[in-house]
Amino acid sequence: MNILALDDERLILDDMLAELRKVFDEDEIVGFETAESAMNYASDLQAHGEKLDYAFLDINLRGITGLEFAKKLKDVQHDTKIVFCTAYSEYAYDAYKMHASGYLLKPVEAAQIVETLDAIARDWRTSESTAPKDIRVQTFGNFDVFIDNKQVSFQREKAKELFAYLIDRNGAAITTGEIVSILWEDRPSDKTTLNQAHTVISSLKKTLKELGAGHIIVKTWNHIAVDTTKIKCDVYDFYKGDAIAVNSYRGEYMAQYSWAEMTNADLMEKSRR
Amino acid sequence: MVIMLVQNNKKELRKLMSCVSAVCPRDLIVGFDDADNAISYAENRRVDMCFADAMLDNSSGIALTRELRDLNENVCVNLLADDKEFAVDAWQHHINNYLIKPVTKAEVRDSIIV
Repeated sequence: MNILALDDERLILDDMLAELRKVFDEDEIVGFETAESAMNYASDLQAHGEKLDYAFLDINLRGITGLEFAKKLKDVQHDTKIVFCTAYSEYAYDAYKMHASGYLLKPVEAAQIVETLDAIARDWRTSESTAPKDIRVQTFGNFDVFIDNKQVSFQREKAKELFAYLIDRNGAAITTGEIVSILWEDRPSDKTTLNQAHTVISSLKKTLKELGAGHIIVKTWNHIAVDTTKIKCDVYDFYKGDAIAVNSYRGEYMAQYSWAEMTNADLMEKSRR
Repeated sequence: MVIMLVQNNKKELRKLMSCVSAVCPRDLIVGFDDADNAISYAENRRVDMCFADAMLDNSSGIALTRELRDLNENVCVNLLADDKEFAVDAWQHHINNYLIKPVTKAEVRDSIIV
């Protein structure tokens, strides 16, 4: 991910960078004091086929306004999400007119940034009318997912494993760092593995969305969870005491995943009672 | 998709209804001239998008937004106003779009794509 911050007052820029570092990885963020150097950076990224994901822009810049800069930036990096950071309220309407993604009043704090990112990530287009009737998850034996009775084929094995882990977590949200520790047990959580985790999340969301089941994944800025109310799942039924589910358990739970052993031990104990 | 329109002035509500219907002919569009009735509807039916007046009798577009989000956290709300006065509030409450009345079809279309 690439993030740019632009403010021509050094001290304020430093404060903004400090807050951004609480939210993003440090090596993803680059700060600029002039519009020209910021534009050069955005153009360089474009020339190397890289996206600029977010631009946090002051509005009252010397020689150009942040609004004008944002327009020029969009010409170079069309998909960049623009977040204005200003001490003034008077540009709020103009920011809407130019399809900005956020408008933060200074001093900018990490919590405001996270709220804005969550709002950007929120997808209102997930409608119940497009939801398939039947999403069934099988955890006893090997892990598999069926949508309207058809077995789901995941594009990546890791995406399937991530979904299995989300099911195992029973609706609890997990961070990208936790995903790395589960999917790549022997590797550290660094830029490479975090990027790979983001790729796996995207792949999972894409597969489910294509099958009309995108709404079962609840994604905020840095957390992901599964909406357990939208899924029929044998292990959830087991814990509710459903006789069919209890009888269908044969001592194996998500047999292909080693991290599932903890839950399997619990299931074994409960099934003996 | 269910699109809710909330506007106390019935004449303005009718104009808004015709504008949104022209842009979204396949969606279910429901109009309310009263915020309480709008909330009662949203309690029984998922509302995906809302166009609400910033100034409502005994309420406001922002207060309505909070209540709609309690019912569906992903609801996308657009605020309609006479001027720019509430635009900063709108950003602070993560309102999708802020439109100055009268609203055009192009602005409605824009709000849905944003």
